[in-house]
Amino acid sequence: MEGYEEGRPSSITKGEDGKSYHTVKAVQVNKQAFDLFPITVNKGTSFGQDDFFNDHDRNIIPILLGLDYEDVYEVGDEIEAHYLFKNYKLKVKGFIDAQSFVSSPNEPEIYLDRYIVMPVQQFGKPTTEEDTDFQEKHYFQIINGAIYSAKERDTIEAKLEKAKAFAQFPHMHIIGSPITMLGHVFTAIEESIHWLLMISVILFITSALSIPMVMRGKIRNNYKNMMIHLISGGTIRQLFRYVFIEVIVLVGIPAAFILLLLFGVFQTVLPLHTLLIVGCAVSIVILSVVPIYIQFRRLPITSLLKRKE
Amino acid sequence: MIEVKALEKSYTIGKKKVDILKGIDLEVNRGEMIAIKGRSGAGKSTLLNILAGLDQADRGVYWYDGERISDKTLNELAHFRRQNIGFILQHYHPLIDSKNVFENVALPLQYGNYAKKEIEQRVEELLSTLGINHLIDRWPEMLSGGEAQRVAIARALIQQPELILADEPTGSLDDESEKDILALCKQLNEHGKTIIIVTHDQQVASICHQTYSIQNGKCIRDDDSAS
Repeated sequence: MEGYEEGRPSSITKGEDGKSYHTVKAVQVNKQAFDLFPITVNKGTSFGQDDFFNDHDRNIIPILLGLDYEDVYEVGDEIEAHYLFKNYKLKVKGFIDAQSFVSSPNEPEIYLDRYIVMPVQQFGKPTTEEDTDFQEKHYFQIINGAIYSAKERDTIEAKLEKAKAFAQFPHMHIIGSPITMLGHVFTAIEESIHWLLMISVILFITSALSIPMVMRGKIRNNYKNMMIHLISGGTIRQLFRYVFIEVIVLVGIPAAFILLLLFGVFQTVLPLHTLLIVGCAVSIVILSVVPIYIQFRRLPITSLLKRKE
Repeated sequence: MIEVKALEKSYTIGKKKVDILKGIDLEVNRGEMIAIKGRSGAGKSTLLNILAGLDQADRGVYWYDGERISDKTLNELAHFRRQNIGFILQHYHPLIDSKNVFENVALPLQYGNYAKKEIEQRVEELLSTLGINHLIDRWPEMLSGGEAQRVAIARALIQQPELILADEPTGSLDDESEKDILALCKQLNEHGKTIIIVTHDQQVASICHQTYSIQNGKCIRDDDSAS
């Protein structure tokens, strides 16, 4: 009975049919959780894919029982149950191995030997007001569930963001999840977003100014090499092309690295962010290349050839 | 082989226009080796650059083997350089420091889009002919001035040009290296190469068939000036 371990008295509910129902220890698990946790069936059969769907308002819900129930029920027995003020028959599919457990935020290991395990039901579209009322209660109490994953919080958050967008229901948050090292970093980033934006703008301007300066200096230091290329059959246009490629590589590699990092960490990057990063990279390339192009256009070949380092 | 008529070139330095070449006339026959002398700033290098197709004259005409070079575009001039001209630079270290000897010599062939195998073969053959095959993997910083200039000459010769233009090729060399390089130039000339050397050095001029001086923007044959 629910509350037995904590020494609480058994809770009894009066059903609309006049019968008394005891609140029993039960957990609902969805397919993913069922696959994730070490729940093994000792006797009978485990849940199948169909057991999680209740399209036709099926009155019978398949269940698995903890091993302590083994002396009380048999596989195939039906138990009358009152679930969210609606009467159901719970049909025993099998018995769970004594070592099987699930986790909750409060208890890392809940052994299922005294539990009824019910597959989270996904109902079909409600047809009556009563159905709607019931399903609202059903889905609402499922919200109070827990997400378990071997993946990082950020990955789960990314998936939740996708789910929010898909369901067009933005009012969802993950609470109480353990924060990883990376999570701390992202929390710090969120808290200092304005400072970071300012630093980003300063870095952008610095890059846009320093790259052409560095490249111009490099060109000046490479007059000898440039003249060797020219006398070897190269043209000013080809030399400019080399510099252009160098600038693209200089800017493109960090930009590609940032994009890959974002894709790797968040798995999804908004098109706006991609556009922003690519836009910044292209702007830096243009701002870097234009002064160099002008420098090349004005380059007097004769003075280049006579120049000594 | 080369015929230049009334070549003029000026530069704008600051706001001032400076006339460098004021009507150069010059004829060089195939197989000749000539020296062009003149004080600093006289326009020797400017003339050499125009002959190499690196620069363009403001006025006048330049024919090379009957082909009018003065009307060519920059891309056509680059092609002309690749096909016909070997250029030896006026520089203490006339090589690209980040390339080894092989890569330095191979550079003109790379611009000519030759196959990798052919490039390797031609570079090795030429370096052997010049007796510097042992330097093939060395980096410029490991070479003496004379060795570097020999490699530079190899680079100028790799496309088998008929015309070699040398801008003070011995200017930064010691006496022994200078003798070596001049002997090499003489040898190349004896093998049929036409050579034009810009120089201050009387010793360099003395090995040439003919010397010219640029004075006041004009090119004067030294025999003529003497007479």
